[in-house]
Amino acid sequence: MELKEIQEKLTPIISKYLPDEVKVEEITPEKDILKDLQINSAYLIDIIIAIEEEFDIAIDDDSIAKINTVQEAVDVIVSKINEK
Amino acid sequence: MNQKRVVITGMGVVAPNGVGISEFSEALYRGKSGIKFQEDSANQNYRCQVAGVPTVSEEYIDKYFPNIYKEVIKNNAIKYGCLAGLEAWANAGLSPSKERKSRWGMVFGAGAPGLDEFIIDPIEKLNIGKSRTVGTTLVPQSMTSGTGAYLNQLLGLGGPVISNSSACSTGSEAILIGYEQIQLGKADIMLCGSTEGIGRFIWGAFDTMRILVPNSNDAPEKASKPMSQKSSGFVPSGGAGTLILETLESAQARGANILAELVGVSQNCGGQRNGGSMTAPNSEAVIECIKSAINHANIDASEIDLISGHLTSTMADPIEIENWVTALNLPPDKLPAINTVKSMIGHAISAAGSIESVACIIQLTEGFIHKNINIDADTIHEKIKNIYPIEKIPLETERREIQTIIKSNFGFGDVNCSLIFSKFKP
Repeated sequence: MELKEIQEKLTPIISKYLPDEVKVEEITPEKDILKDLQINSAYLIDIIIAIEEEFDIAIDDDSIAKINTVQEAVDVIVSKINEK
Repeated sequence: MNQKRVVITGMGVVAPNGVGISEFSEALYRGKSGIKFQEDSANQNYRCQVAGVPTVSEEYIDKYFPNIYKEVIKNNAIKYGCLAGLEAWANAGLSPSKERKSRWGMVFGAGAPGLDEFIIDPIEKLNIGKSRTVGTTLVPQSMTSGTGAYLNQLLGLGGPVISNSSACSTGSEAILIGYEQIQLGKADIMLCGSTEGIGRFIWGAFDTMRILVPNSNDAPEKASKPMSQKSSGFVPSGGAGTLILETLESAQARGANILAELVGVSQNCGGQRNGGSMTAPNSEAVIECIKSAINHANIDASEIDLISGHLTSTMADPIEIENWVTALNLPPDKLPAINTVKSMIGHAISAAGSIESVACIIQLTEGFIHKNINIDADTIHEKIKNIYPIEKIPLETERREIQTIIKSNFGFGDVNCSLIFSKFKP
C-alpha cells in the first residue's frame, strides 16, 4: 500500500475524534495526537481499533506505546502491513 | 442551620411528545400524546407493543453536541440526558467553562443505562469472541454516572458531581439531592436531572412483570390512561429532564432569570413493611413523605394549587389518590387540581420525576394547568370519583395563574420523594 493511501485512510479515522476547535486540515504527520490534535486520551484505543479494522492488522500493546504523532501511527501501520 | 433560598434558573427536556422546552410546553398545553406503536416490541412478542420514544432531530443534536459526541454517544439515555442538561445550562444563561468551577456541581440520575438498546451491538461482539473490537465506550455508557461524566467533559463542574438511582423516584431525588448539597454549602449551582433509555431490554424486562398495558396496541395514543376505570398497566418511555438549582444570592449576583423557587423537599422509604414491597408503596410512608415536604416548605396544604401526581396508569392510581387526600387533610372544595404528564408520555421511569418537574415549572411560569388526556367524566375510576371532586381533575387545559405545585414520585423498593415548587417572590 502506498504511503499516501495510508495517510488518506488514516485522516478520516482520526478526524471522527477531533474536538470541534481542531480542523481536519491540522492532521499532518508531525502532529502529536493527544497534545496537538487535543484528542481525548479515552478515545485513543477506539482509533487503534478503527485502524486495525481498516488495514486488517493487529496492533500489539508495545506498538501502541510507540504512537504519539500521526507519522508514528503511519509507521506502525506500515510495519504491521509488512509483517503480514 | 439557616435555610438558604434555592431557586430554579434553567430547565431542559427531551420527552416523547416534545424535545426542548418550547416544543414540550406546547405539547403539554395541547395534551399531545407521544406514544407510538413499536414494531420491535411486536417482533419480540411483547404483550405491550407501545412506548414513548423522543423524536430527536439531527438539527437539534447539532445545536448542542460537539461533533465527537455525535460519533461517540450511542446510548440513548446518555444522549437524552446530555441534551436536556445542555439545554438547561444554556437556558440558565450559563456556558461551558474552560476552567474548573469548584462551586458548581451536578446530580444526574439514571435507572439501568446498560439495558438501553445501544447494548445490542457490543453484546453481540462479546458473545462471538470479538472483545477486541468493542471499543472504549461500553464502560462509560453503561455506568449510571455516564450522563454526568459526558456532560462534564463539556461543562467543567468541580463541586460535587453525583449520580443517583432510585427507580421511578430517581428524577425527583436528583433534584432533592441537589437542593441538599446547596443547603450543606457544598455548591452554589447544581445541575439536577435524570434520564431513561429505550428499547427491547428495558421494555421486555417490564413486560414480563405484567405491569405494562397489554390491550392498547391498536390505539397507542390512548394506551396511557391514569386515573381511569380502564387503566391496565403503564406505557414505558424514554427521555430526560433537567433543572438548574441555584442559591438566590448566586442567581441575583449574576442577574439570572429566576423561574421558580424550590421551597420544600422530602424523601423516605416505606421499609417494605405494612403493605410496602418491591413494587407496592407503604401508604403510611407515602402520606408521611407528602406531609413532611409540606412542613418543610412551611406552608398550609390549602396553599397548594396543583398536585403533579405519580399516577402511572395502573391499579395503584386510586390508592395514590387516597393517600393524597389523607395527607392533605382538606375539605373537598379546598383540594388542589391534580394532573399527570404520564397520560401523554407514559412512564419515563427514571426520567419521570425530572421531566414532570420541568412540566411543573412550565405550568408555574406560563400560567396553566395541563389536561389529563384519555379520561373523561364517565371513565374516571369509581374509587377516585368517590373521594376526589371530579372538577379538580382537569379534562381540558385551564389557563390559570398558579402559585404552588407539589410533585411526588414513588419507586420500586418502596422509595418516595416529594418536591414543592412555588412562584418566586422576592
